[in-house]
Amino acid sequence: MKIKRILFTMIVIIIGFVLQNGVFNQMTWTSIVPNILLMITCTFGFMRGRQTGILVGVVCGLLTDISLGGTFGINTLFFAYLGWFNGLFFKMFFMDYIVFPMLMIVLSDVMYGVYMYVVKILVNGRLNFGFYLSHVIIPEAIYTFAVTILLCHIILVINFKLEEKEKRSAAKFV
Amino acid sequence: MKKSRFSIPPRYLLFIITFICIAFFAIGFFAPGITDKVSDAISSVVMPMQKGMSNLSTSVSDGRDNITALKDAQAENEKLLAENERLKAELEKYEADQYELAHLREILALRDEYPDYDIVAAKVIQKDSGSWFNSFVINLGSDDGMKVNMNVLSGDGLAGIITEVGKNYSRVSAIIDDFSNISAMSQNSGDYCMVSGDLEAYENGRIRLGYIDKNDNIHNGDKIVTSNISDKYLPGLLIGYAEDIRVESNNLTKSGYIVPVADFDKLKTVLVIKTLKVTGGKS
Repeated sequence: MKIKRILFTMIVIIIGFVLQNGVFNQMTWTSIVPNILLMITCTFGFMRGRQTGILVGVVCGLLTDISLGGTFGINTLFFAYLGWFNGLFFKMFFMDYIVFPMLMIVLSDVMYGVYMYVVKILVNGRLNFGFYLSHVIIPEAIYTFAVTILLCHIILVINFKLEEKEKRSAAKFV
Repeated sequence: MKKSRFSIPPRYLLFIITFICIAFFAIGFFAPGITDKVSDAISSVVMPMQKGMSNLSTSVSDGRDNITALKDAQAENEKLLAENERLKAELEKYEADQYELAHLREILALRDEYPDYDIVAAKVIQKDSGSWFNSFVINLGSDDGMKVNMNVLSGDGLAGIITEVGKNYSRVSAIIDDFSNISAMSQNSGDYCMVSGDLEAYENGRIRLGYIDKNDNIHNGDKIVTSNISDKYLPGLLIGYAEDIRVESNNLTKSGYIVPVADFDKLKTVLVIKTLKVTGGKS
């Protein structure tokens, strides 16, 4: 059962990576790309708890580092913390309450935006935070939110099914 | 009982990862060679995937085009539908060929413009996947003789510079990137200036032009090319045309904007100049 779960997680991450790099960044009408890997990290964080959140965050962060270039590890670090942060809300999460995950993901994306501004732009001497907030951070959060409505729900439903199955097979052995 | 195999407390897990990452930053800062090797090893596994993705997305956009073509055909007579579609598909193919031909001709013309340099054509296989950077990845790497700091041209002029080279890919940082700074000069007067990329200015299709002496002779519409004193860029590559030049409030320098000639939204094929700028020490 554990293998099934790991496989499911891997597939979700790979699909997310493909979507982000192959589909969404080809849409030429905007330079903003929804952050699907971040969404996956958050989802697994509050869905499965801190440990899974951190591990998924590391994998997603590594993939982001590869596709963005620059200093290696900057995204890995932050994604790991995001996974942990979302994992803190594990106990507050209920399957049928969809507003909460949405809120968490948007909040995480804004946090990621501010982090990126600080480590990448601010150190370069660009002080006009307002511009970056209104032209990069907020649009990215909105796009991610829009994509989340679709994808997050799918992940949650599949995870729910897997959990049901696990419970059933556990009950069988007792 | 089942969990005992993997149960590191999250706190320690986070601590370990933080430690590894910070150690990695430190190593990268003091001995960049080692971290480059690590990131290159990971990237060379993932990059073939990127190529596949690039093909996938092309087929996705092809599919989108086909749907619009179909809608046009449906408005026409039903009898002609099959015939129509066949012709359309054929036409589309020719149009694609034509487009490629025009593009390649453009590149050929550019190649003639800079005859002294050793130039190779490269394909753009990935655009930036985040919202913060303006870089792209091309399909040539160290196996094809790519090196860091090689200049990259698009159909019309300077597009960027190679910042990272892997075995089978290279990352090009575009001149509109927030981190890009180029020493440039006016082709007419030879006065020096600095071209720096800026996300904010690029919203209006421009990049910044600064550090011009008040008495220098740079005017709106002047051709701005890379300067001969730049340590990374070869001299005389066209960047764009000056615009909106004004004396700054300090009354000592002028600044303005450049309209870049390269079209960054539609980069498909680029040219890499394999000749590196020779500066003093190594050649």
